[in-house]
Amino acid sequence: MAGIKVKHQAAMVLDLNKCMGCQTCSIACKRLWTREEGMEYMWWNTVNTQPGLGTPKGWETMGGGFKNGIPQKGQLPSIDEFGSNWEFNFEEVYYSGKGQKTYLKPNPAAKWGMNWDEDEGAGEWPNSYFFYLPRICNHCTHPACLEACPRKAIYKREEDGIVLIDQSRCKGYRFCMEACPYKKIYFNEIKNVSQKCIFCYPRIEQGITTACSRQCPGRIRFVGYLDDEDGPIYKLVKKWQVAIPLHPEYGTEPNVYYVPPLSSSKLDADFKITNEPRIPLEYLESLFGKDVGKIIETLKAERQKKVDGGKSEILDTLIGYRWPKDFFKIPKGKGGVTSFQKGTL
Amino acid sequence: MTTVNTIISKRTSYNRGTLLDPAGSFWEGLPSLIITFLPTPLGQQPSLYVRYVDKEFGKVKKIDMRSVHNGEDIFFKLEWFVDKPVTKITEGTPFVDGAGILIPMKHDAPHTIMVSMGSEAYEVNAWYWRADEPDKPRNIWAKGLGTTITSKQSYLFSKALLTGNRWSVVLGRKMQLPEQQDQAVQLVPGIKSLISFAAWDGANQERGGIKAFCPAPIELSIEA
Repeated sequence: MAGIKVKHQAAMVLDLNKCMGCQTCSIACKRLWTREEGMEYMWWNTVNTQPGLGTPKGWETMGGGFKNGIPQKGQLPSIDEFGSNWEFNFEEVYYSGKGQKTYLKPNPAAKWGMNWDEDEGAGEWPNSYFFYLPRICNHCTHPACLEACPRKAIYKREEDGIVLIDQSRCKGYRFCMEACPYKKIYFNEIKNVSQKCIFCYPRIEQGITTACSRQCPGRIRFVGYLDDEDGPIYKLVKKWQVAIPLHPEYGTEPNVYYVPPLSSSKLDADFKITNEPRIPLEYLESLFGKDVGKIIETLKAERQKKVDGGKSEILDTLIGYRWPKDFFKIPKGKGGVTSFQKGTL
Repeated sequence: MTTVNTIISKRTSYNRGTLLDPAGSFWEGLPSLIITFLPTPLGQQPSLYVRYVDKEFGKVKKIDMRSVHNGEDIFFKLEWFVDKPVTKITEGTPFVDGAGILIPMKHDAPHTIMVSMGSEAYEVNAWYWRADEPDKPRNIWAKGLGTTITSKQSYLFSKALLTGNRWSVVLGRKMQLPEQQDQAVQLVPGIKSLISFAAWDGANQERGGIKAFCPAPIELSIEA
């Protein structure tokens, strides 16, 4: 099944080698977009430790997406699987005189959360390993959510490829939540509508990058248009091909790309450094597909160039010396973007 | 009780308060009409994803129905069974029970295709009741599958009673609604129109087009 054609595709590249799991991106998004009633449990931007179950819990086993162009059944994630919004008994502990008898505890009882399995990772000491994986809606070229919606409430903007849910058309059926293989759509029980990352389109329209990328202390995110040959996105994705989508086998053609993480080396029984990476290549391939090994080798070779005192355009681009100029290339109103559309989160 | 092709909305002199009570003794004096349901045809679903539904749906097999009017207001009492009633969205029950009535927007439009929720030329008016808002039915109009629009203001009224696994819901409205000429059917005593029904089993995650419905439209005759 062909993807949806757009004039320009807004896209993001995240360099996983720089992510430190600080969640500043998550908070930036939360503060800006998900503060209203019914959105308390929502994190349109998440950062999870890999390997891990992530959010919603076990999302990679929940189905959805396409196989040979055919929609695949998906599971509807529950709020508990995302991690519900916890209220804490501050009043009881701090102001009721029971501070010595009780303790701060969440209500409802905490079962899972957005970043529940933080830093658990995998492997055995001294060769345990983990890395961080930030995720937003992938604003796919072939969005499973859009296809699944019987209301045609989900649309992909022709001018920039951003996928939005028209809040006035959504009836809360949640087929989109089942169909999205990345499980990045949330349900607002108060408003009875589905909601998700909007790629900060009101900012993009003004030539300003997304909140998650602008606030990132690690400067891991690049934002721009996929067809802009002078921009970092085109170079990293198309020209040098060192950024690839997560789970390409889901068949939705994501427009969020990742520079895969290089790994520290395993130690042998005598604690000597070996040539074997701690992060198994098979695991990275399970996330990013078979091309990931080739990319790792390219990155290592480019790094060696710098170590040897040479030049590497790829590494220079990934490092980004000029903030924010080297990271975001978002012409204001590219493709004749529309003005802010009220009620179309 | 008989299976019917025509529903007669009997004229009565009882007031709204009496007629809106699903437990009211008044209703017992009216014949119960059985409307047989079938699952909606998946081939008609506007989304390929929904067409791939891989489990049994359309769990409500029939609905018992009665109708009256008092010249000013018209009422429909719907009764049906579910295996496990769902009245609220919770962690384990993401969808609630529901029921709906469908009437062509114009009573002199016999070409209205009820099974496709109307068409561009022949719109339909739906009265939609949900178990999580039992006293707040929604007025909806549509001109084809996937086109429903909910009115900002609903002039419908309803009361519901859940007895064990049996729902008894009375849906009513003023027959004439000049406030919503374009969004609601205008009814008068003496006319004949079409009517259809649907029900959603929340426990079976039925929502949208995944529901049980009355495949053949039924004649609605409003007693003069």
